[in-house]
Amino acid sequence: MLSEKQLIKDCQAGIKTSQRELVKRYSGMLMAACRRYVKDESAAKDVLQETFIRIFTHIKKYQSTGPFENWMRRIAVRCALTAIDKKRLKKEIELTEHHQDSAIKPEVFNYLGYEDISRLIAELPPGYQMVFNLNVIEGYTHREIAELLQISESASRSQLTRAKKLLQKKLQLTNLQKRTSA
Amino acid sequence: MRWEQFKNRLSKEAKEEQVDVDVDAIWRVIEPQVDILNAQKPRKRRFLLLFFFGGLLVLGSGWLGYQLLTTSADSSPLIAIEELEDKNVREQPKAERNDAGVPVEEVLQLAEEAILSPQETAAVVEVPQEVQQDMVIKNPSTTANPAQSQAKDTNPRQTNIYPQTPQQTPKPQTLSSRIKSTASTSQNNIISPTTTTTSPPAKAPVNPIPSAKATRLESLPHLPWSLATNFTFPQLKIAPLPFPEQEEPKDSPRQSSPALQFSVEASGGLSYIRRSLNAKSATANELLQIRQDYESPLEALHYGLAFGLQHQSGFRLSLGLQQTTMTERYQFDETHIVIDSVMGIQVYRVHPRGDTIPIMGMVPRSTTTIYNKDIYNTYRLLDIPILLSYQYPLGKWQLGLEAGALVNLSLKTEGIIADENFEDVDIEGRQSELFKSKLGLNYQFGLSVSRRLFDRFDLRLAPTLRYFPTDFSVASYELSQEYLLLGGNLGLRYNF
Repeated sequence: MLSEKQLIKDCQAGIKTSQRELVKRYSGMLMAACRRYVKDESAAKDVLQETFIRIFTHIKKYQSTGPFENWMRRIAVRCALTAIDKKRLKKEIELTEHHQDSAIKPEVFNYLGYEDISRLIAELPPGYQMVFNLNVIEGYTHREIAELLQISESASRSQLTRAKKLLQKKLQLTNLQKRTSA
Repeated sequence: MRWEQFKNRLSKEAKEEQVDVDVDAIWRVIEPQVDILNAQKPRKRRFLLLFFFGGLLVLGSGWLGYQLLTTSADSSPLIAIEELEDKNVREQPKAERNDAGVPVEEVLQLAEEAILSPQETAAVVEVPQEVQQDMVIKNPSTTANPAQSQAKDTNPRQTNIYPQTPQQTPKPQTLSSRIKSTASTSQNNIISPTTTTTSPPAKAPVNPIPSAKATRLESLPHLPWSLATNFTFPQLKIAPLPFPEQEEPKDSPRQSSPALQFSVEASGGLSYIRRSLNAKSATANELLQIRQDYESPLEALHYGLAFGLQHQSGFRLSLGLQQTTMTERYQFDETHIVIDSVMGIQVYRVHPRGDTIPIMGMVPRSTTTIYNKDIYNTYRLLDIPILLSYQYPLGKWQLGLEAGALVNLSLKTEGIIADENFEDVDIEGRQSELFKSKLGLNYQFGLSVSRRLFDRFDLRLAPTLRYFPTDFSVASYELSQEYLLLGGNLGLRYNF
């Protein structure tokens, strides 16, 4: 099995077998990233295909300044965002309500698994969900999110704050429900 | 930092998530496009490396050519005989004397033309002692008294053994010219001036006027024929050829400079950093304030190697490789207090019957966090300096003025800076999002003072100013970051 470094080198050299190996090795991870932003299954597949084409187009520019997976994931996110309706998303962001302050404890993972938390994140309004995924999971700054979603930076910050609060409420409710049912 | 912990864990779990995908279906769709991409030839931009090695090649070829030209001049076959004889005189005068091997014909000719004295003839052809004595006895007319000989010998032609015809007047030739004409026919039979003239060897002065009496050469057993008995060697006055001691030129630094001089120099130095941070938009003012308050530039250290070519006019071109490391400190001592609310027991209600009922609700909470950060960030640059300077000599010293460009090959950043939320940003892992990897050209100006230490080695001190016109940060980063370095260089140069 090729190491990641050798795989990258072979793909930069245009070796087809290594390129196929790269698709096989990372398609699961990249598809999960695409599904966070594009709900539709077939649309997510299109985004994944576009992602791999862009990866092979730009792989020669990859300079090992950061993890290779992060680099590919960023390409996937950008491809996913080009597939969504940004105007509709922007409108939804502007119409969202305010919520009370709350903090999320890391101990929530003790009684709720990642699948439960990701399901709760998916239930957030699209604007909250988008900003939350981009900032918390992908690590984008508010400035970058503002450029990607064509919103203001302050809107990005407020969306994240509201997403955190809403998620906190949902987590508390889910926790209470689980304890009650237990 | 509970939110940070939750965020980190969630991010980690999300990145490890895998979804089942039909890989074959995906590959079937993208394979034609991948084939098109693979068919495109990559465009390699290695001109900087080619430029650097090309420059080294040009300098090396020039040095080789210069060496070849000077060496070929030294080994020309047209060297004058005097020079060769001079060398022979200095190096092995006695060997030449013994191993002259001068053909007899030349000796006789020289004798005929009254150039060689008997002693000189004997020294050249190794005439045995008894023959020499015969030479003296058989010519009693010429006594041992040189004064008488000199007084009598007013007309050398009259005592010449050869019948003199009016036409046969020997040409008065100098020894040197005579030797030259004979040397062309007999390469090996070079008569050393010390053997044929009265020029002294290194230590013992020789009387230029031969003190031997004029003698008659009758017959020499070494000679294939015999001469007439009335052959007389006239006395000869030959001024000594000058053989001044050719002193080696003293190792004066600037007395005899070749047209082109090559050198190699190792140098290093320190510089003060002047950093300029500016916000690219109004929204970046907060970040600008944070970075200006908590970051401070320290110093820049640089070292490198350079090859130089100096013309005798004083102009000098140098090309090399230099690494510069700029260090900054990010110091953050802050106390943050976050007040929020959590679900908890607001109050206990005690029923008169003794029951205690907790009343749940939102409870305020205050979190105090103290940060102490002391992080050193580095910016490493690799450049090719191309500098043109003018060197003005002042004895062993040289004053210079230099200017040039440095071609940046790479910029690497390490460390942590703050973002607008005071969160750490790793500038090594995220360099591509924050800073450029190549800066293009930057410029250097300076003065220099150099002094010859000892043979071929110069010590050079040069205060410099280095200006970076290019913003270190990428276009998408909120702040522009530019630098100016003021410092000095100390170098040791070897000239060859």
